[in-house]
Amino acid sequence: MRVDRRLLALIAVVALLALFIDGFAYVYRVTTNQPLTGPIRGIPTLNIGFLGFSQQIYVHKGLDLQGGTHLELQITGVRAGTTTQAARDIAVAIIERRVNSSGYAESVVRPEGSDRIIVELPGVDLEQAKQILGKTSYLTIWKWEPGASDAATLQQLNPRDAQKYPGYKPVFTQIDGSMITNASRSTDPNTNLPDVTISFDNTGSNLFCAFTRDRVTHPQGDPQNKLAIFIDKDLVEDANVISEICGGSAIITGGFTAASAQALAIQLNSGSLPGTISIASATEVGATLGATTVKLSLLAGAFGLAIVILFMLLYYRLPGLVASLALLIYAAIALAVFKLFGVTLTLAGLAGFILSIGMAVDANVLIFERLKEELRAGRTLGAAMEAGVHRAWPAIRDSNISTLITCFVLYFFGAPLIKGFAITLAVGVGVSMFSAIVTTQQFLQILAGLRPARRLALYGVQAPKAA
Amino acid sequence: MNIVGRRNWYFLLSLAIILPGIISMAFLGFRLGIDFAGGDQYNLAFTRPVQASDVQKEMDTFNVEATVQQAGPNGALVTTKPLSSVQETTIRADLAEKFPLDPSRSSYAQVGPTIARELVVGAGGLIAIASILIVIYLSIRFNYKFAVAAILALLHDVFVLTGIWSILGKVFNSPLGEVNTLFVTAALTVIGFSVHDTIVIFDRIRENLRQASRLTFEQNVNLSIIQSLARSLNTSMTVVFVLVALFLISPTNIKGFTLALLIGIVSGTYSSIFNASPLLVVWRRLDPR
Repeated sequence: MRVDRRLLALIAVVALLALFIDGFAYVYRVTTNQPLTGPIRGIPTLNIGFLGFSQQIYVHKGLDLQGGTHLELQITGVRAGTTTQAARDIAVAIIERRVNSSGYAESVVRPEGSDRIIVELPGVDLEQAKQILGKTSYLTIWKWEPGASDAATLQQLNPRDAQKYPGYKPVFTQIDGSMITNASRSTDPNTNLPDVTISFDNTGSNLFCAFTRDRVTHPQGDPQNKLAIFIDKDLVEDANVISEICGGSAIITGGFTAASAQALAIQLNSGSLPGTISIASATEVGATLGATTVKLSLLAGAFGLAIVILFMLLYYRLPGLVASLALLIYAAIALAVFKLFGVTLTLAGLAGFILSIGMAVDANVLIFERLKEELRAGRTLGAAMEAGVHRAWPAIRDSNISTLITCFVLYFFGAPLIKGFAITLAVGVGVSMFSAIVTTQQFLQILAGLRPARRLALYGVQAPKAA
Repeated sequence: MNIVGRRNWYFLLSLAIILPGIISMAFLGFRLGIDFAGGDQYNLAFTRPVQASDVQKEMDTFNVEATVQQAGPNGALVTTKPLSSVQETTIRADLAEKFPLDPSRSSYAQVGPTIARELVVGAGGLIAIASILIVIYLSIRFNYKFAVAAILALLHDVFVLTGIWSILGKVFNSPLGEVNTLFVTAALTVIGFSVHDTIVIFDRIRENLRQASRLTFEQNVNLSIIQSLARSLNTSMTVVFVLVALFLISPTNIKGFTLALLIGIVSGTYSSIFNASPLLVVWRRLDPR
C-alpha cells in the first residue's frame, strides 16, 4: 500500500480541526479577558440544528471537579388521581423555575426514572441548595363524612388529624393547591390578625362553591358542617361554613403570625405540587477540592503520557516516535470530541479517558510487534508495515469491540457516575482505533518512502542474515 | 519457555490468591460504602493537623453510629448512619465550631436506603449482562470454548479483585477496601481489560492454528503465548505506569479506585497468559474433538 494522499489530508484536517476546537476558545478568552473555564455569559451559543447541537464549546466539568451540590429527589405520597410521572413533571417545572430565578449558571434539573429528580447546582453548597429548593406545600381541602378512615387516607394524612372526630372520616373534595391561582398574606379586618387569602381558578371556584353550598345544609357544630384544609399531612384549618362561598376566593385563618402567614402564602404559590419531595441522596463537593482533583488528574495524565512516550521511544525507536505523535493527535481529537459534544467530565470520566490512552498505546504496540516479526522474517520495510497493520487488525478489532460492549452496558444500565466513565472510555476507544489504524499506518508509510528511515536498527531489529 | 506445560503450578498460584479472598467474602463480606449501605459521609479537610480520634470523640456525642478515619494529617473521613436534615445541619455546624474546618476543600455525601438497594442490584446485574454479551461476541468470532475460557479468566480477575477488597476492608479494616460506586466502575473496567488482553493471545492462537504446521495444539498455544508476551507485558506496563502515577497523587476518595484498577490489570495480564490459554489445552485434553 502506498501513502494515501486522501487519508493523509483527512488526518491533517481532523487534527487541525481538533487543535482549533481545543485552542480557539482559550485564545478568545485570553484576548477578551474572560475567565478560562465555564460558559461565557451574553454571547450567543453555537447552534447547528441538524446535529442537535446548541451550546458554547468548553470543557463541561462535573460537580466533583468544579464543586457544587448534586441532589437526587424522590417524590412520594402522590395524591390519588395523578400518576407519579405527572407529579414528577410538575415538580421538575417548579424546581426549574426556582433554580433559574436564583440565577445559577449551568444548573441542571431533570427527571430520572419515574419518581426521581436530579438537581445539580455548581458552586452551591448543600445549605444554599436546600434553601433554593425550599419547601413546597401541597394544599388539599377535605370534608367530614360519617364512617371510619381507611388505611390509604391514614397514610396520606396525619392519623391524629384524620381521626379528629370519632365516627367521622375526612373525604377529599378534589380541591387542591393546583387550583390556586394566587395566595397572599392578608389581615382579618375584625381581629386584626394575619391570615392568608387564596384565589381559585374556574374549576376550583366551581368545586368550592358547590362544596360550601352542600356543607351549609348541615347544622353548626356538626363536623359535616366543617371545611378541613390540610397542608401536606397536617390539618391547618377546620372552620365552620357559615354561608356558601362562590366568589372564587377564600380566606385561611388559624393563628398565624405575620411571618408564618407570609411563608404559607409563598409555599402555596409554588405549592401546587401533588406529592411530597424528599432528598434521596445528596453530594456536596467544596470548590477547591474539585480544582485540586482536576490538577492532580491532569498531572497524572501528563506524567503517564510522558512515561508512555519515553517507553515507546526507547523500546520501539522510530515507530515509537510515530506512535507518540499519533498519541498526541489522539489526545487532541478526544479532547475536541468532549468539548464539541458537551460530554461532562467527571472524575470517573477522566479515569476512563486515561485508561483509553492505555488502549490506544496497545493498538500501536500490537502493530509494532507484528512489524518487527515481519522485518525479522526478511520482508521489505513497506511490505512489513503493511503486513504488520493487516495482521494486527483482528486483535485490535475484537479486543476493542469487547471493550465497547462493556461501555454500552455501562452506559445504558449504569448509575450517572458510571455513565460518564462509559462515555469517555467509548470515545477514547473509538478515537484510538482511528489513531492506530489510520494515523499510525499513514505515518509509517511516509517513513517507508524516506531513504534515511530505512535502516533496520531504527526499528529495533537486526538485519536478517542473508539466506 | 514452556508456560502451558507448567500450567498446574500457575493454576495453583491463582487458587492461592483467590481462596483466602473467597473465604473472607463468605464469612466477613464487604466493607460497604454509603452508596450501598446508605448513610452520610463527611470528607473533612482541616487547615491544620487534626487527630481522627478527637473527631471520633466529638461525633460519639451525637450517637449516630459514626466511624472516623484519618485521611492524611489534615483530613478525616466521617461515616454515619442516615441522618435527618436537622441532624446533618447540627453536626456540620458543631464540627465547624470545634475544628479548623476548610469547607471549600471538604465534601459531603448522603445516600438514602432506597437508592442504596437499587445500586446493589444494579452492580451485580451489570457485570452479568456485560459478561453474557462478551461470550456471545466471542462465540461468533472464535468458538464457544474460547469464549468460556475468556470468561473463566474474567471471573478469575473479578474474584481476585473482590477477594482482595474484602480482605482489605474487613481484615485490615482499611478505608481503601470500601465497596462503592467507584469500585464497581473499576471492576467493570477490569472486565473490559481482562477480555481485551485475552483476545489478543486468542487471536494469535487462531492465526497459528490456521497455518499448517507439525505442532501439536499444546505446542501451538504455548508458541502463541510466547509470541504475544512482549506485547502483553508492554501494554500492561504502560497502563500500570499511568495508574501508579494516578495512585500516588490521587486524593483519598479515589485512591481506592486507582488501586482496584491496578490490581485488576495485573491480575488481568496474569490470567490471560497463565490461565485463559492453558485452559484451552486442558479442555482439548478432556474433549479432543
